[in-house]
Amino acid sequence: MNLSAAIEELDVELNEKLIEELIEGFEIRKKNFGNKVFFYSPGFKHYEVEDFSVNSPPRFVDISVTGRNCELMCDHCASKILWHMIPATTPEELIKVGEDLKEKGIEGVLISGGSDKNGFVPLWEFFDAMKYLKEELGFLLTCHVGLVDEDYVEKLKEAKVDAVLLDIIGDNETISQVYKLPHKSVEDYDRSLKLLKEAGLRIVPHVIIGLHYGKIKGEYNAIDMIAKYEPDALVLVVVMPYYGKAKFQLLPPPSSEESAKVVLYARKAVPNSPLVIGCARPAGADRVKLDAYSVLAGVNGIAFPAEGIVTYSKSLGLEPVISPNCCSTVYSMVFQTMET
Amino acid sequence: MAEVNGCQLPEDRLYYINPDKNAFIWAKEENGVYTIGLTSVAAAMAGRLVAYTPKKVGKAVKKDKSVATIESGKWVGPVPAPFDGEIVEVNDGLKGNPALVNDDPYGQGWIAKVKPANPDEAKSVLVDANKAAELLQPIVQEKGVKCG
Repeated sequence: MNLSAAIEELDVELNEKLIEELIEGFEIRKKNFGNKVFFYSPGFKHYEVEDFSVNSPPRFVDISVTGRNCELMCDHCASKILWHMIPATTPEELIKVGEDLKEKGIEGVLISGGSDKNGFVPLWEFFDAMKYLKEELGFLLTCHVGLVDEDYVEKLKEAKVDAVLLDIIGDNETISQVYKLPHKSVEDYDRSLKLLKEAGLRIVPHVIIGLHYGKIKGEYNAIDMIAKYEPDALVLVVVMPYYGKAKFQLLPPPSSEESAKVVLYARKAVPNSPLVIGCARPAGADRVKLDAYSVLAGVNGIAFPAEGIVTYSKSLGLEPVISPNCCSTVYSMVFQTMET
Repeated sequence: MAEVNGCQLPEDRLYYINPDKNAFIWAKEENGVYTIGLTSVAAAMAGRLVAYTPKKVGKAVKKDKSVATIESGKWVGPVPAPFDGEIVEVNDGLKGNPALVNDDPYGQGWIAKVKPANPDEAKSVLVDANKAAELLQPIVQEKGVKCG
């Protein structure tokens, strides 16, 4: 591969020393996953850059069982992540929304929602409706949970969800201050992973880089915790200050270089699990840099790749695969395409 | 001032409207260089901007190719050049405050200054405010766009 020519095309300055370090991740991904790299454009956003766009109608959408409401109102999000989701705040409404989406050709849904004051996404009364969406409507069904207990996990299993997504936080101060959960700890997140894994559910944990007011704090610990449970995929995202409350908006997110080091650490920690960069991350030139570093660090996929990244990936000898799905479904695509 | 569904189109400039290319652009000429920007219709369609990534000054752009990428919570896309030309200036003020495009689309929220490769050809693709309003009418109706 002609790395320097590929980087020059991107029109951003990358740190050469860091690039040398990241190549280790690239070698891991080539050895364990081959050359395919996945680029995602889920349906909640129009996304069009010079070398990447998905023109087909949306196939995968997000539904919030709490509408725009969230009891936690964490500092980094303040429920804004829910705003683009389709609201379905009763089980009957969820079934109706599901049936309408099916008619429109939607193939997969993420069931999400705001958290309650204990860090749970209140899915309890929706499990039967979720099962209907899976079994009767045939959706690819993923759901976003917070913390879980035994009963919640049993219900997820009964609902036959395809994958469970959850944010993992590796620092108690972050859990207390950013997530407003002073009565919860890292151990609660560890236990949630354990319960989900032991139940045989597919787990796709997410780690938010810069979650502690733009600083790197519990990310490495979170990744170590996740690695113990051999996740079906790991999604990394980066805080976006303009999403958060005032305190967040005034603070810069981690630099692309700091974030890239977390990406490399994750690649090495879960060498056999698909690793993807999710939708949420700062925009503009920072996104170009982070995506460029991440490809070198050996990620399996990127949602909404920055302009030039698909072309750059080809220059590095990778084979881009474009998908209108949520990047959390990477677990199904990586191994499927390796078999073909 | 021409207007479409509450979205104003000042008459002191020209417009490039091409729905197939998502081009809803204004252009104002001064000394052979066109300042271009998003119409209030395009700004309303995109939503509040959170990022502005211009191409480099000096870059040659083809008609309908991107002079900058803009991003809101629900929309990421190019700002298409109305004609072949060269980018001679970008709006550094937008880098720190991209939402100026929403707040002042025809003033401080300008996107780039482009020198046309062929001035006559540039003029031929641009229309006045009244014609722009006519071309934008079906778009704002279809997409339910409102300003103000």
